[in-house]
Amino acid sequence: MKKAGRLLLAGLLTTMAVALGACSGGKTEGTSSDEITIGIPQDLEDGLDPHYVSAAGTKEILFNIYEGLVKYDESGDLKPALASSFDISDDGMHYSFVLRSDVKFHDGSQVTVDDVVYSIERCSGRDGGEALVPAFSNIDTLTAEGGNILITLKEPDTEFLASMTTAVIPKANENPDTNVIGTGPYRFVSRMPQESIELEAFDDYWGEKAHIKNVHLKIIANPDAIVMELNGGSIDMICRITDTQAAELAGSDFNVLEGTMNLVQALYLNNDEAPFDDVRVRQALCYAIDPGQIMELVSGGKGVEIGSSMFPAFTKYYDESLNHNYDRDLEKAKALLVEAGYPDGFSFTMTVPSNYQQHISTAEVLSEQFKEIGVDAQINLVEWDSWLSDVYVGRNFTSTVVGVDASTLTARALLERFTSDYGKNFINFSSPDYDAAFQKAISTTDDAEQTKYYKECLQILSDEAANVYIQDLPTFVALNKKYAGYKFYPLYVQDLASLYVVEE
Amino acid sequence: MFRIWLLCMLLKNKILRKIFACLLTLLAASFAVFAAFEIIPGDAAVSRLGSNASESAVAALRVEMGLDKPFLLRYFLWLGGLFRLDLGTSYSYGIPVSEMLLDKLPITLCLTLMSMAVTVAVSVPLSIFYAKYARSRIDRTGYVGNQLLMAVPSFFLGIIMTWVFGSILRWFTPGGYVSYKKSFGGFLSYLILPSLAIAIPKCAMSVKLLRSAILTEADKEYVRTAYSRGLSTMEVLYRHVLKNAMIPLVTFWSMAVADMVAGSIVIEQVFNIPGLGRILLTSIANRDYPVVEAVIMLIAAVVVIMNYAADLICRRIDPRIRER
Repeated sequence: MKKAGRLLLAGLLTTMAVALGACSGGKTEGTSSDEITIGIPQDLEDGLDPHYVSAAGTKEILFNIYEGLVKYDESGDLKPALASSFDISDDGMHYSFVLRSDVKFHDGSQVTVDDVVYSIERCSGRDGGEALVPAFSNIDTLTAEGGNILITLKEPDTEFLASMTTAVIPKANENPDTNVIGTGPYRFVSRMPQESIELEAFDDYWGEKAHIKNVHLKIIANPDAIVMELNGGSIDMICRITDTQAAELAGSDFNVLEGTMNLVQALYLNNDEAPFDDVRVRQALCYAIDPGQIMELVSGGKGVEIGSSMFPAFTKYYDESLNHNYDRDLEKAKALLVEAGYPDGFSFTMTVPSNYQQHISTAEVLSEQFKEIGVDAQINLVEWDSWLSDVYVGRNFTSTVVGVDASTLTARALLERFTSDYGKNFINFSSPDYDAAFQKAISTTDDAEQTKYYKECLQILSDEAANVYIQDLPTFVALNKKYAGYKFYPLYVQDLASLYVVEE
Repeated sequence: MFRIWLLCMLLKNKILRKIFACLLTLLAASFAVFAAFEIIPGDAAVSRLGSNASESAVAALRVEMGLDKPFLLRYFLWLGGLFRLDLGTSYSYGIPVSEMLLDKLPITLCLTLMSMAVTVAVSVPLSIFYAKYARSRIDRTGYVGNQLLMAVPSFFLGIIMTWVFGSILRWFTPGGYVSYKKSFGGFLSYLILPSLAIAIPKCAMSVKLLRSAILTEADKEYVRTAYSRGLSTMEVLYRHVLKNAMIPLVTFWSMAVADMVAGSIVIEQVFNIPGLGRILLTSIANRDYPVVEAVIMLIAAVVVIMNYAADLICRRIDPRIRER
């Protein structure tokens, strides 16, 4: 018995030793120069069809795979992409594009004007459905002549060009959701659900080719593991880490780059729901908060204060003076509450999506600041999906802390949602003055005049205290020192083609 | 008439009756899962199309997904598919659910088998060792350590292990999971720590059960009889005592397997393993109903089957149970 027991134990210990030895063998070796592993927080769960995807996290990756006739550069300007040049008539009614003759799809076939027309028509809802790209419902005629694409609009729209970033896909592809064929600098190779996505530089790319041949996108579902995975060497880059994580990376193999998220973080108020149907109550809340303190506590003092639905990257429209429309003034706030009939304050609920730590932290600070004027704000954490269906679509909420971004880099993308009868006006904001100013802005073709009207819209949003505006959040990117070339864009994209390996 | 008679005859057979009960349990589970998604907020179509989708696009997708049909009809359609082994198509990935499960199942299965192998290989000799030195100092020290390990949850052990072996000793790369399709060896070696994290509390529990079972059995009269027949300690232990002492353990182990499959949700999150647990969690978040339903049915099936298997094994080992 004794002997057998010892043998068993010895055997066991050997097994464990071998097993643990094998463990160290599993460690990934340093990546070779022509590949990079990038961590992403979620899988591309809404599919790969560029015209149907909606998640920002999916779009920012597809930016590398698909392209439209024009494309944004890192300063937010629209540059010719599949079109070699374009022309806009002075009245904003006629748009013409010259298609490049040397563009190939990832499957090797040539991009023709037919593919372009097909892609635009697919998104314009002409077969009776809703337009996937709302601006396309304004198209009157769409014709192709030789290598040119001509578009005539029903009504003038000077911002129509932004919608031409819509991906061009091959007409012959019957199933774009699983058969991924684009024209971008990277082509899709394969994916494993919840595991990884493989991309490869496209050799026949028409423009400047990507520097790094193989890109592995690795899904990191557990945000607490990010720093460990970076330091352990299983990923070379990850975007949008918190300032705490950034601080933990000091002195490591990583550079931490800082930018802004380009979104409007605010306590969005349901303007139809009591007590926020009273402008004085909304203003009182604006006077009660101190964005500086919020930024200090939520994002280590980084971030940029905002005073209306516009973030600073839009230098054209961003107006710093609006930040001071409601400088903190507790007495004024209390007086407004008394005037509105709430001398003893009131209590309300802030619905916050539970997957965004920054919004949760912001709500916590807000709740403390509101206490000082006798307002009791309860935080209700909900799952992102519940938020989408109940708050955003169902408008069944009192207030919510969230960040709203621009789907295209136009003022319209940020401001149209506050017009009275717009389907996505989830805060039920309603102001005839605002509607009029917005209507004037979109119908004029004069740039200076348009800017003036958009600024008027922003002023109204601030004066009416449509929401309690807070900040544009900071964002941090961790990039292994072996790589460089990361570019921040004023919209939600990751430009992988600009990354390169640093020569040692 | 004949059918009812047949059913009665079948139900008289104990094994068949048990199988029938298993199927009923699974049916109840399937209904519960389906109903749960009716109650929780969130809409699969909105979830898929996101915040910028128009109402008509959402409505069209609801029709495409079949979500416009009444609840019971959808349930029975799904149940019908289940019998034809057609689990539907994932909303998120557009690929058949069965294909996805076949991809992910080996990961969780390997993890479970490895954990179970460690549990069995460690707990049996260790229990015999402790039982041998019962009430000595070794036994008492062991007892304290055992109680401690029993109480530590796997995910906590996992975090500690990642920290110690990954960050400090650098024996493995945290999150450095390798797909089994790429390198099976690398895949298995990455699973060693997670399987240890799962196995250790189960081991401790097994040792506690088996040690006391051995001691109880050792005091019984048949042991004395066996000794008097001239058998050695080894022979008495392996031929008689262990066989009897295993019965409570078999039940525990079978439940442990079920627990490991279900518990993969937690441990896969800690070690960043893209197995069944991960797919279940993200599918719930995305309201990817076909995937959630399939995974939960799978877990339910494992629980029911393991329960049944334990019953069968116990019957084999112990004729007395068969008599009952």
